[in-house]
Amino acid sequence: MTTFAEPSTAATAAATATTIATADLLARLREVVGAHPGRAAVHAVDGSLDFAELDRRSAGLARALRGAGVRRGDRVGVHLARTADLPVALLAAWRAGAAYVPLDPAYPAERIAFMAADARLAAVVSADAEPPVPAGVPVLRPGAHAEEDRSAEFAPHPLDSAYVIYTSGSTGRPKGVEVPHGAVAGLAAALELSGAYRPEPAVVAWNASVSFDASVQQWIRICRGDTLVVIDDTQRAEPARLVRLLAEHGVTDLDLTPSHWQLLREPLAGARVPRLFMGGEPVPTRTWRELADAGIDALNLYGPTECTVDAVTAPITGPGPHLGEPLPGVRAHLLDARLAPVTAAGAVGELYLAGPGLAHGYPGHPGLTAGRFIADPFAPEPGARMYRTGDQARRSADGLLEYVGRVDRQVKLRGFRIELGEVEHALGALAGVTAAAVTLYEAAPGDHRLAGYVSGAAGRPADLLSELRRALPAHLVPSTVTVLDALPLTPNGKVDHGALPAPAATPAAAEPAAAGGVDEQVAEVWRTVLGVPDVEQSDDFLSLGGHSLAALRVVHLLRRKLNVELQLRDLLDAADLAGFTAAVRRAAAAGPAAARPTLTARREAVR
Amino acid sequence: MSNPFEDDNSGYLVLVNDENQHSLWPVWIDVPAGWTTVHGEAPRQECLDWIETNWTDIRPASLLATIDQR
Repeated sequence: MTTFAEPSTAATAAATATTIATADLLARLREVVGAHPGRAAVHAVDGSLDFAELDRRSAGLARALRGAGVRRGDRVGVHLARTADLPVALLAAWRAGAAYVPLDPAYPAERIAFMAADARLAAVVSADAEPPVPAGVPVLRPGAHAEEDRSAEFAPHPLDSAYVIYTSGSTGRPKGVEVPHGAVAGLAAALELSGAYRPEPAVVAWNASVSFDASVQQWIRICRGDTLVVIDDTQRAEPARLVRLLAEHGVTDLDLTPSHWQLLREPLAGARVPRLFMGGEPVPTRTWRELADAGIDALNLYGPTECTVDAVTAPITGPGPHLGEPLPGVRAHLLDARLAPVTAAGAVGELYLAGPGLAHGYPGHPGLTAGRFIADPFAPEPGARMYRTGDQARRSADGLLEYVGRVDRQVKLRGFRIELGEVEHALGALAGVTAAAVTLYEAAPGDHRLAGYVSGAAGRPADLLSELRRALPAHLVPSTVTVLDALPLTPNGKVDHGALPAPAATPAAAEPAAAGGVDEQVAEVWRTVLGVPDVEQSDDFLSLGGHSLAALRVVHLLRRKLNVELQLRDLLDAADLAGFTAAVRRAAAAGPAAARPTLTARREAVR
Repeated sequence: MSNPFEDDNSGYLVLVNDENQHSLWPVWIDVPAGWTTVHGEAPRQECLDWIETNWTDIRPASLLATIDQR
């Protein structure tokens, strides 16, 4: 057991005087396995595991990894869908002494190959026979199992690396963030101390993709004896199904982005709402008030990947959004351009975070690491570092820490952290493009999208977008690309983002709604959601760039507009716009949608 | 709001702590306790280049020492 002593400081943001005792998570898991071998550990589409089985499988895979040459300090790629194999593989990487590196099978092969090479993986766990990883890297099936091994159970040192998770990088390539075991164990302990994790065993929905660090605070709960419900992609894409799954397993805790909540709030109305852990993007005022007024048990969690998921948290109560207070062990400083504390109410500063939750940094990028993880002049212990978040914040008159914005060109879109510079690099690398710019624009109130701009002898925007989809994960691909003769420049020769025109393919939002019949209204919704100027009856939703959240928006908008009971299946099963329109007509003939119920509190205990 | 770590016209230092972790540091702010200057004063990019050359594994020195013993 390791103890992090964190004395309080005269820091600008209230630092909590706390000593956190953090047992390593593998030791905690062993205790649970010993005490509750028959308790449900994992429920997933491909089956359930009790703790004894989770232990047996992860130990067997860990031995197989060691047999393949994996040693302490190595990195193991995990290239798996959302199944029961996933927590087995993550734990097996840890038990083999390695850090895990998530490789989302849905990402383009080019992207996976880059991450696998950049992380210098010692092995990969994959259900595919030939995942896109460098030649010579051993590939193990998630069911691999070796019995004989003379090595003792691995007990990580707090500084041993636990994972490397890739985030968007402003220079055109994703960058890994390497996080030590002590920080992960400290996160679990801090969430327990703060009351976010309740003492009794919980049933936790694993909602976030393992590629994003929000998943860490979800899946590691298995190590404290909570039951994990692994939500797969199809369950995740269909709110009604997801809500049924939550009820079926009696889920008590659900992590989600405010954008995802917008899609779940209606299907959840009248049901028992789990405790909500909201993060990934600022909670809009309207959402905050809705949750607070309804008495829903919800927490706002803020923190960059570089500070191990969560740094600052607030219960979602009271009049409006705020970040809250640092978790136990975290020191938060609001500093000005001279690195002096900002003390005046309302004055904006940049948020710096410190404490044992800091990542090691960006492997392979020492210069970048040294510029973001910097010497901490406020630390009680000499030689400590703090992380420069790039987030601006202020203290309100009543002392609440409020998020203001970014100092740079990083944006949050539906919870995804995106460096606009990375998308610009990818766009600029396409054949025929001489210059590229990307901005965030609001197509309709609350509907933010990426807009790309290129100059040069570029091809058709649709072709550029489909090329881009081969290089970038879906969340980094712009909704539109506009071809310009030249990009507007500022007097000192940089791209003038403020002077870029409205996107060429701006959806026809200005057209009068409900002008035509059902055909026209369905087409209109497709244009709006997909951000394309024209749709044909023979167009297929997915090939126009439709993704699962876009499909949900289509169904949602048409339910409202036409008052019909539509299912996501109606859209996904339709071959083209004509087929979907026919399904909408059938739904309309079947009768009106159920009335929208109000949200009710099902809070069981108030902390 | 400008940031003291992003000023191409200012002078910088490279600091190192006991774990061989490196930090860029503006020359006009006092060096915090527990850190030693190993490079500079120099322009920002030169300091970053120096760090790229001289700090090859960003993990803490005490960890690397125990991993290398295996």
